[in-house]
Amino acid sequence: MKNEKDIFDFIKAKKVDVPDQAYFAALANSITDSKKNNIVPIYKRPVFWLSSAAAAIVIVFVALNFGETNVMHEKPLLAMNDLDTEIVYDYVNENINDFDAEMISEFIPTEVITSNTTEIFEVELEEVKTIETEELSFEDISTEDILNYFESEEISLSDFEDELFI
Amino acid sequence: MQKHLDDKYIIDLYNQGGKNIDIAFKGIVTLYGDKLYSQIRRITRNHEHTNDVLQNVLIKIHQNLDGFNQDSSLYTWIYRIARNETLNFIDKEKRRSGVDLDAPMIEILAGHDILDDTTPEKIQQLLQDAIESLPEKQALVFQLKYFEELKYSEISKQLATSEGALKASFHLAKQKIQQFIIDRLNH
Repeated sequence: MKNEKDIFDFIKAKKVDVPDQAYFAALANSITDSKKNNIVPIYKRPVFWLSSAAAAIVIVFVALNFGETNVMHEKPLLAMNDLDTEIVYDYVNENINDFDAEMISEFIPTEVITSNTTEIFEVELEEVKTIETEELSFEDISTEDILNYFESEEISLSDFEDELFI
Repeated sequence: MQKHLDDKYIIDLYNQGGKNIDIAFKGIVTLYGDKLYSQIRRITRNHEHTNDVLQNVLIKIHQNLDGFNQDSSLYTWIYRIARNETLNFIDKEKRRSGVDLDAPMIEILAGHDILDDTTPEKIQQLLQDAIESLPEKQALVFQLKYFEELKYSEISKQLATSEGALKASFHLAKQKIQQFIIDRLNH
């Protein structure tokens, strides 16, 4: 039956020692003061204006360069389309030494480059095969050559006593 | 200023903007600072921790006062911020140890066989856990009535709620807390 008693009749809450109003006033002041010192609207910050100016300069610079690059690519291509093929071939033949390899390869279709390369590799492979098929034999080398080789390499025959049954 | 200091006055001041924002904020601290301190310290049980939490609570109030939509009373809104901030702090602090805590803020009187077998430390923790499990408004009413010992008429003004509703809310809160504590002690 004791359990049915109201437990709040047996629990007594103690008062908390609350600091005086000066403590709360100081706390409030510290917050309002720190807000005044720290929080400056973003548009009033020098960093904001410096960053904006820098960003504007970069954007203008990039935009101008991008425009120029496009114009440089487009103008020659338009001119080339207007020219007759024979005139172009004649010009290239006469001035072939003025073109570097990189520039020429830029205008040669990829398929042409690929097929030529394959042919070159095929030729080289055949040559290698020919060399591989030639068999070498010790019979073709004279004893004198072998001894000369050992001497030049400073190899002593006594090192091979076991293998050669000397 | 302090003579007429109430929620309406504070909100009107805040809405005027400029320097009045800070004056309104200081009004809130003057009006509710001690209650907030008491509420937080009962949970953190240490002045330094209370100071840290209270500072965070006040900063949030200052930052977010323009978001107070007056659906509830100003103190209900402030209490919610303080409660969340304190519980977050306690969650973080649980991982730490060696902090000097205040002596239990409750006293157990002899005569209840279940309570006689336990310590004030244990009951204080259970009481705190039970309050945390309550709905926000009930917890607030319980805090103000039980710990702060305010009259219903005062709570009614602060929370903009009728005295009848407050009495019912407090009665319900007590029942739930009692059941919570007995259940935990019987296990």
